[in-house]
Order: sequence, then C-alpha cells, then structure tokens
Amino acid sequence: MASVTSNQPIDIINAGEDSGSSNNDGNNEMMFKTSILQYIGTLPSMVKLRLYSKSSSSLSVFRLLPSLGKFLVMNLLFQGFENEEEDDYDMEAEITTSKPSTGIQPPLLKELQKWVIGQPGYLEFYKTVRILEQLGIFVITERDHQHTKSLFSNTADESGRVKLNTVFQTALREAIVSGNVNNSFGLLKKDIPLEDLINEEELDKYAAQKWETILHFMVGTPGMKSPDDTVLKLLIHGQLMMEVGTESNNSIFAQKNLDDDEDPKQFQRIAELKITNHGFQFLLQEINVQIWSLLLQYLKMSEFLKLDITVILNFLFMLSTLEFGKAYSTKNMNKLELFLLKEFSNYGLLYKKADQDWFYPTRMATILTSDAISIRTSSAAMNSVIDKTKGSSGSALSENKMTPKMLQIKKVNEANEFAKRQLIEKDNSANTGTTSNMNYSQELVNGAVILETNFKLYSYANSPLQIAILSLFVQLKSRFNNMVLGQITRDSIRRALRNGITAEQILAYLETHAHPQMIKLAEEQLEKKIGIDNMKKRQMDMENGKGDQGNLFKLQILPPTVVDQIKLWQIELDRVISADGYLYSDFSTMKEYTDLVKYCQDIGVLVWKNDRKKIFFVEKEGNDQVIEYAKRLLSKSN
Amino acid sequence: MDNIIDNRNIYSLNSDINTLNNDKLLLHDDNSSLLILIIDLQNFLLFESDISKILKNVIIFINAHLAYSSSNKVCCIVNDEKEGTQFLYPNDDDISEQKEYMNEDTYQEFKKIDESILNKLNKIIKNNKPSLLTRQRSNIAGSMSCGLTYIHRVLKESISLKARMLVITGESKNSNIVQSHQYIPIMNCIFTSQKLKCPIDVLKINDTNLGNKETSNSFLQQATDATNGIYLEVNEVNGMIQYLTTVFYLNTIITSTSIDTNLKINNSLDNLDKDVEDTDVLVKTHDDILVKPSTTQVDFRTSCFLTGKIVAVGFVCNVCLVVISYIPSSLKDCPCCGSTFDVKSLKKLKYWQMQQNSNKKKGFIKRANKINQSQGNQGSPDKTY
Repeated sequence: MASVTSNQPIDIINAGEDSGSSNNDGNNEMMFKTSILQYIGTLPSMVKLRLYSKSSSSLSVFRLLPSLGKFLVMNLLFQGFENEEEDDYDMEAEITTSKPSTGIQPPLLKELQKWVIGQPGYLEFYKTVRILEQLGIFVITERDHQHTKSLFSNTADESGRVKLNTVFQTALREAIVSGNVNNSFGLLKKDIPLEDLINEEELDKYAAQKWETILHFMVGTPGMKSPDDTVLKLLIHGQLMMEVGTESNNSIFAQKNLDDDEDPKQFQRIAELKITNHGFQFLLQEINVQIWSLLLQYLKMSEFLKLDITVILNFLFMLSTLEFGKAYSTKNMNKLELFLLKEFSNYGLLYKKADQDWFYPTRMATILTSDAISIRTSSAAMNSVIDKTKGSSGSALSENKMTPKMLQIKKVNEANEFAKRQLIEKDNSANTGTTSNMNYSQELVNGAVILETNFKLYSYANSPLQIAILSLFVQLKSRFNNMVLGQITRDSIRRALRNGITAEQILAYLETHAHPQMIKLAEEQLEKKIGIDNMKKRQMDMENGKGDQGNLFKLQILPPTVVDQIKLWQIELDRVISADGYLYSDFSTMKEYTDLVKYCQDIGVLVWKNDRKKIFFVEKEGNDQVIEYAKRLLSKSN
Repeated sequence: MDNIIDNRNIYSLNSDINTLNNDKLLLHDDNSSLLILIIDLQNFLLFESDISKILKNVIIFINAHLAYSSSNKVCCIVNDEKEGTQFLYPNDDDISEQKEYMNEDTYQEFKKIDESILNKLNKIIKNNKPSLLTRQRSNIAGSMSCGLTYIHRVLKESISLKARMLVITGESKNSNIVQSHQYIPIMNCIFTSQKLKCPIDVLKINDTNLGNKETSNSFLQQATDATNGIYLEVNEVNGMIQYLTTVFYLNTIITSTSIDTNLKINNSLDNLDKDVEDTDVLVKTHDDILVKPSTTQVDFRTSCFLTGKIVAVGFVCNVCLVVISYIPSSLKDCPCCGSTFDVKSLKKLKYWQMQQNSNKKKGFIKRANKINQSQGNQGSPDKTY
C-alpha cells in the first residue's frame, strides 16, 4: 500500500515574510520599486491636477522625468507661446515641416516621433510617451480607437495628437519665463535678527546630524541618540526595522533583548528594534534614494492617515526648489504645512526653531530633485536586484542550516564585534576632536572607493557610518587618517549574502561610490575598445552585426574579475533548491513503485526518487493526478 | 506544505545574473551639463528693435536649460564692440547694486543668474551707442576662446561634467570680410572644443532688411560641422523660442545623459508595458536615437592669412599649412611660422603669379596642378584648393 505523506524537506521560512501580513509585504516591495514618479502616476487625476497647478511642483516633476521626456515636454511647452503674446505665429511650420500650418492644432504623435531614429529610439519614445501619459502630463486626443491594443504586439499605439496638460503647461511655463508663480517657490524672509542668522555650515551640520542619527540608529551604533518617535514609526512601517522577536535572527547586529510582549508604542528603547534585510539594502543606497524611499513611505503612511497628499507633495516639491542657505517665512502656511515643517525637520530636511516663524531648507532638501539621474539609476540598480532578493535570501538562509550553527554564530559575532569596534574607535576619535569631520557636503564626496583586481579595496571614508556599511561586506584591515583599507574575501561576501544583501547590491554600491579615477580609467578603456571595434567594422564591413553592438561595450568601472567572483560566490550559496510537494514512501512491492514512478515521469511531476528505498517526491501541482492514478492501480490489482 | 518556499526557479534566476549585469548602469553619471552661451552683441545692434525680444528669448532658454536639472550650469559671455568680451555670468559685480528685473517670487536659481545677466547687459548696452560707421572686426572668436577656457577650468574641477556652447549671432553688412580675420582663431577654437568634446551650436539671426544674399557664416558653420553641433539660421525673431527649446535643446539632452534606466523600471512594473518589456534596450546616449537637424552644405573655404579674404585656391606653407592668397614681393619666409622658403621655387611661383595676373586667371587650375606636382622641395609654398 502506498501511503501519501506530506513532507517538509527544507524548512526555509523568512520570518519577516511569514509574520507580516500580505498588505505589509506589498508595501515593502513597493518601497524600493516605486520611484516618486510612479507614485504620482497612481494618484487620481484630480489630485494630479492640483499638484501640477503649483509651479514648483511642475518644475520638480519636470526635473524628475526621463531625459527624452524632458525634451518632448520642452518641445511642446512653448507651442503657441508667441501666438498668445503677439499675433504672428508662422514659425511653427518651419520646424517640423509636415506640421499643419493651422498652428492651433496640436501635433500628431507621429510627428513628434520624427525626433528619434532607429528601433531603440522608437521604443524609448513610446515608453516615454506612456510615462508622460500616465503622469497626466501628456493629453493624447483623437486616438484611433480601432487600434486593437494587444499586450504582446511589438508596436505601440501611434495614433492621436499630443497636447500638454494645460494646467501643467501654464505652471511650468510661468516658472520658466518667471511669470506669475503665486509664491510657489516660497516666501523669502528678510528681516531676521542678526543673532538668529544661521550660516550654511551650521545647516549642513544640522542636516547631517539629523540624518546620520537615523542611519546610526539603524546600524545600531552604541551610544547614539535615538531619532524622533515619528521617524521610528516610519522605519517600522517601511519594514526597515523590526521589533525584535518577530524576525528570525539573521542580523549581525542582533540584539539580545527578546521581549515578545513589548508594547508596540514604546519605541524609545533601542534594544527593541532591529534592522531587517531591507534595512541593510537601504543602507547601501545613495543618500537621495534613501531620502526618497523614506519620503515615499511617509506619503503612503499619510495616505493611510487620510492626510491631504497634494499638500504634502506640493510642500516637498516646494522645499526642493528653495534656495539653500536662505530663510523662508512660514507666514502663509496652513495648519497641515506647519505640521509638515515639524515632521520634516526630524529628517533633517529643514531647520526650524519652534518659536520662530521662519525656516531654513537644508542641502538635503535641495538635492531632492537635483541629481535626478542618480536617484533613478540607483533605484534601478536596486530594482534589477530586488527581484532576486527573495530567492537569494531564502537560499542564503538555507545555507545557514547547512553549516554548523555554532560556527555561524561565532562568525556573525565576530563581524558584529569588528564593526562595532570600528564605530567606537571612530567615535572616540571624533570626541577628542582630532579627526572630527562631520561636514555634510564633504561627506557626500567622501567615501570614494578604489577596488583593485587583487580584491583589495581602499575607501577614502571618514565617517563611522560609511565604515560600518563597508564592513558589511568587506574585511577591513587597517585604518588611516582619511581612508580604510580592506580586502574582499569569500567569507566577507558570504557574510553579507547571509544578511540578505545580494551580490548585485554590493556591486551597485561599489559602482556608485567608485572613485572618479576609476571611472575615468574605465571610460578611457571603453573608448579604446570602441575605437578598435570601429576599425574592425570598417574592415569587415558587416551590416548584420548590429544586434551585438549594444552588448559589446559596457563601461566596466569595477574590475571584471572581482565582479565575476562576487557573483560566483553568490551562486555558490544557491546549491540547495526546495520544492513544494509530496513524498511517496512505504511501497509494498517494487512493481507498485515502478509503475507509479513511471507515470510520474511521464506526466513530468517527478522531482526526486530513490529506487533502493522505494521513495519518490512529486510536485504539489501534479499530486492529485498521481493519487488518482494510484487509486486506479490499486483497484485494478484488487 | 504551504510554507515550503518554491525555490526551483533559483537556477533560472542565477543564469540571469550574468545577462543582467551586462547592462551596467552608469551610476556615477553626474548628469550635469554646462552651457556656454555667447551673445554676439556686435552684430545684434543692427536691428535694435528686436534686441529686447531676442534677449527675452535667450533668458527663457537659459531658464529652460537650468530647469532641465539643478546641476546644470550656465556661463554667459557677450561679445561687444566697445567693451570687448565680457562675462555676463558668472561675474563679480556687486549683487547689492543690482536692480531687480524679475518677479519677486521667481525660482531663486533662475532669478540669481538671470538678473546678473540682465544687469550687466543693460550696462553694456547703455554705454554703447550703435554707430554703423565705426564697425570693426568681429571678435567672436575671442569670446569663444573665453568660453572654452572657462570650460577647461570647470572640467578640471569635476570630471563628469559635460559642456556645450551656443553662439547666438546676427549678421553684419559685409559679414564675410569682417569675419574672415577670425578664421585662424576660430579654427583654434574648433580644435580645442574637439579636444574638450564640446559641441558648438550656432544660431544666426538674419536681418531681412539687409537683404544679403550670401548670409551663412561659413567659419561658424565649419565649427558646428567639426564639433558635431547644430547650425541654424532664422529669419525672424518671433519663432526663436521654439527653435531654442527644440533644436538647441537637443544638445542639452545629449550632453547630459548617459543612460536612462528609469524607463526600464517603469517597464518592469507596469503591466501595460508588457509589449516592450522583453527588449532590454538601454539607450546609452541619446546621441544615437535623436535626429539632429543637419546643415545641407558646409562652406569649407578658408581665409587668406595676409588679406583675410576668403579663398578657394591659394598658396600653402608646407610647414604650418597657413594659406595665403598671393605672394608679396618681399616674401622670404612664412608669414605665420617663419620658416624660410626655398628661394628658387619662390621665384618660380612669383613669376607664375605674375603671369596669372596678366592672363586673368585663364587656365588657373591646370597650371596650379602642374606646379604642385613638380614641387617637392622643402620650404616652398605649395598650392591648395
């Protein structure tokens, strides 16, 4: 008789996934995936309109657009501009020759498409148009409705005429021609008493201190103040940190306090919170990505709290367009905005004393929309990576089970100790004032990393935070006045992988922090390669090879040997796979066993078998079929 | 049973790793672009009525450039008859003395730059009573050189910055003669900007009242051609903003983008985009997907080193390649580099030149060919076409 038993071959459960409700999980994924643009895209159109009506918001959204999008918007922005000012309007026709001379008619999508060439251009164009449409910036009229839009066709919907959203158009245009912008770029406060003036250095210091408090708190630096309660709530809401006891102990900074029945509202004690996998990933991001991901989380939370999203977004965008180092008045602000002022000062975005009616934006606020590319690319790096995070972390954990637990814990503790020692050392030196260098602007440039082919890593990092982050995946060897020297080893990488950091994240981090010299070198090499290829191409005169062209040249900032090795180390951890399914055992005769195995093989659900022990394992999906067959076999033999 | 995580697809994921990482992200890209704007005021003053309109458009264009990304930078240089080359922005004028031209609550970044430009420009224009008679040589190349040195200085500070130059010029009555002294300086500018990888764009505003037939500025045209820039002529000021925000905005994109990965993100997230998802085309530069308006014909003629006339056929020093249209009787060595010419062949050429003058250029080309072939001597001027 065949008895059907359920089986749990490898018990891999990420407690975080298990305990968190499905809703929370979705949120978490979104935090890294969604850029602010996508978030805006999901808002209802009325909210969008209200958002765009402010010039500062329009400008900021414009800056966040992909560059082709910026071009297309700029292309349309001044259409009919001269027409409104004075009544001669005939230049239009000359630019795009095929344009109907009426001038009032918005251009066809196809006409705009003439700006791009080639297949990549075509694809990029329609992707961009779609983004703009989703954002409600492009209004496409006269769409050909008969165009059957199949999801898998290779052509985009090319019909229709394009117009800019009038609200967006006027707001952005007014911003650029410096027309009527209705104070959306803030109200400068001029008559500030001298003793209350704050210079830029102090602002930088303030912002850095606020922000680093958060990061230090996440890393678990001992002796640091804990950030404000609202920040902590956000960290937990975004699942960057966990209350201890609900998460499996795979963190190197695991705390000993394991109070399960802690009141969730008491966040004050550091010991109760612990960094999650996502938190580690968060730490590896660039600062503007970090800010944005927190702010997005904040927006989602406020949505939940039924606050007016438009006001918050407008406020954020306004903040990002303010001039650094100037004081702005809070005179015309409403209650919610005043509340936001207080909230965002907790993140170091602005500086405001409670009794004053003005505030200073910090550099952090002004970079919100500044380095648009680096915001997006970093999150893109995250993105390509994050899809795999689940699988990898799962497998990383499976590795956990395979290695002797004692050794594992010992290693983790060692790493933990080392990182902490580093931090304490740094803190001490900072206290004595010898290398005290918390200058924020410098901190942005600092930390440039040089990675050599022999896996040695030099980082001009000064802040304990950067060193702590580096120590997540580098074995640090020695420390100098302005740099640290470390070695990337198999152990150090594996340690990081076990913490849920993936190889791609490490590489992305190294690339973003690569020293300018490395970039320069890589660019020179790339140019050489292209030069050689051009020569070859001329010789071979081939036309079919165009498909490979894109893949041939990539800017390789990091030494390829190191990159490959780190990836190999990650793959190394994925030796165990798991499958949901059922184990069949205790067959009485060999024939019974072979009959059933053969059937399973035929329908392709067999995962594993052992002839000698007469057991085999089938996929979950095929199980019902197998049982049916087994029953039939039994009845036949009876 | 349900809590067993299905990890079968790990293998397939891992095989993806290699392919995925081939499309390296250029994370370092600073994305900032420096615009050097050169206003050739010398030639603008011909049509006073339009100048405010032109300047208004220019200011809007600067704002549009700044709006592109907050790390974008602007440097504005003016070429003026009296004051010569002047930096409008950045300049070290006292800010407190400046008048306010703009709206109080304009975006501060715009306001700061725009007002600085407008203040300085107003000062210059006030000082300058245009007088058509005292027109001198155009000094556009001097302004361009100033711009290039500025680029060089900025590039030294930040590696990833990319620069471009836009020359806005008008036309003078006899532009070719005025400009021709500029040939060598402009050529030097071209080589420098090629080295700096800085495209030069030229917008020329034609004055329809002048009714010149040959309007294109051939040297600037050559500059755009050699540096991969855009040359455009406009007959009217009214449509200017549209040109500035389309054609000349192209280079803002090209010089400031290396890669655009945002599209990819949107792609993977959005179900609507499924149709294009499988194509992992990452556009490296917008250089290869955007169409640049190209000038149909570029006038490649050069100018004579001695007279400044534009020549199609002339004599060339075979050491420094300087072109001269005629050989003066006293000529012994190269007027440019000073290397001595071979006396014999010089004599021959002078004799030939004399003959030519009397023959009134009959069979000119044929003879020139012959002489070119026969002359192999070091230190003697050759002919060129």
